[in-house]
Amino acid sequence: MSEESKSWYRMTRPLFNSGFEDDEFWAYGQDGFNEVLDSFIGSDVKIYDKSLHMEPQEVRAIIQNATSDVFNSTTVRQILCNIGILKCGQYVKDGDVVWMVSSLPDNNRIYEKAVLWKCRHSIRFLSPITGEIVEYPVYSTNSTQYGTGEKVKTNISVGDDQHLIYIPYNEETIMLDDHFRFIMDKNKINPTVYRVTRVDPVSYAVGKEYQDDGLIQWSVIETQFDEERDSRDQMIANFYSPNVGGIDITPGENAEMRLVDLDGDYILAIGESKEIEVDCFDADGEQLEQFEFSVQYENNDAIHSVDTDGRLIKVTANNDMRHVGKTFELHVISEELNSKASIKIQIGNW
Amino acid sequence: MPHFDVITQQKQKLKEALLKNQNIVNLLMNTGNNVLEFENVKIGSKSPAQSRIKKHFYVPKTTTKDMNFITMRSRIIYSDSDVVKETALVVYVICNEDQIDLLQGSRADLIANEIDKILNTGGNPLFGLGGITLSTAEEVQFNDGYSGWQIPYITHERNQDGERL
Repeated sequence: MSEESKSWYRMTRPLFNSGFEDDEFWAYGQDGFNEVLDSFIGSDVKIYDKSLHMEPQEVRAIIQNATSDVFNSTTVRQILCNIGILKCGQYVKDGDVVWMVSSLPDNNRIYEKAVLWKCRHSIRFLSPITGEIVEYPVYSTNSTQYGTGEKVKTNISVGDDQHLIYIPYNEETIMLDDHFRFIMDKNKINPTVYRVTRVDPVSYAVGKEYQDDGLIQWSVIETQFDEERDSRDQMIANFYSPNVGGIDITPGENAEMRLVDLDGDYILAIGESKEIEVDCFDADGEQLEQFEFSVQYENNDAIHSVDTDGRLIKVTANNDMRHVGKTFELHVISEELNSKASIKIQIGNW
Repeated sequence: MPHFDVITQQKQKLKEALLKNQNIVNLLMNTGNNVLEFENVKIGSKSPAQSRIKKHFYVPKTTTKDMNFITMRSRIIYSDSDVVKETALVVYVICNEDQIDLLQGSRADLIANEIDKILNTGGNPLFGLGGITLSTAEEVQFNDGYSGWQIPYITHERNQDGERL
């Protein structure tokens, strides 16, 4: 067969040819669609299962409705591809452009079809599962309507921008509940922060049969940028946690001592006590039961007493509001191990 | 003593006393309907009830689900005397209406009773000069789904002018 004539015979030949139209349809329908997919009409797209961090599936697909006369239609497409690939909530990457499967995909026994929404923006946050930075492209619509974006309160006016945000449902995004804050703005100097006021995982769910698929709809309202907690550089809200204390370790050659604040917050309220545990580990990471250490600290008006009971150090603060905000440093020193550990604690309020 | 320092201290002392009270912490945090089956929730400054007791005038929004609160609002009733001024600390007990009915009575009533035991003691007041008196209190609905008590306690404190005498 010559190269020129090959293209005429690209379809897989059917195993039978009964002459009935229905059999012809079943025999040629999906092969015919594959032929169109392989032509210039089709595109190579990557399909991510509800998170861009997942390994994508590379498939051929036809993206329809690419040309439009009004803005709202330019952010909506239809995707056609082989049956069994699409799920509601998937990301579809066509070149560098990220879309979201927003409808329940279904097929006409030849090809599968779904509606795509253009992800207008990406939000970044710390994963509630891993604590690492994650990024999710989202589709959003402004629900402020014809409001001015300001709400007059008794003494001040506050921002009153409202949006509906659509994000894929998965085990990570379902953990983000009311009061979750995130930054959504092109302005990186003075970015706008939004707070989730309603989480709707039901309206864009696609049924019990597709329990793991679907979108979550958030209602969000504008809130204030918090210089203490939010990061402009990372464009992540609640990025920083208050740094009020900490532990400093100087390990010896054969072992190192560690201090553990049993409350875990390095804050000691006035009039209360806090317990600090002293642990020691050898070079292999094995915990040592027997070791000697001494406790040192500078005299501090905020501290009432420091008592040691075995490996536990109990620090008690004076009940005096004047000391709130002061810090106290305690050092644990082992001469035999040539190791030192220090802990800094802030005196806090009730 | 600065004029409003006593206001800060009043709220501070009350919050500390509330967080040290096992009954109040249990009533704020447990969601069942039987006090006898309540679990003892940790008390003290690290109690999970810390965020439910607010030293400012706070009313939960309707989107705040399943929580009970104690909040405070101060008033200076008069300070025309050089030496003494009269202050009021209004304590609000705010309970979710889905959780307010306990077998032992209203959750708000039970919390209000525990607060009254702390403040309305006569001989040994938590703050103030001489004693704390309960003014007229009433039950109110704060927001859709939230009911409870508004309880004003009145006491006398030293006035700033008096410090100069």
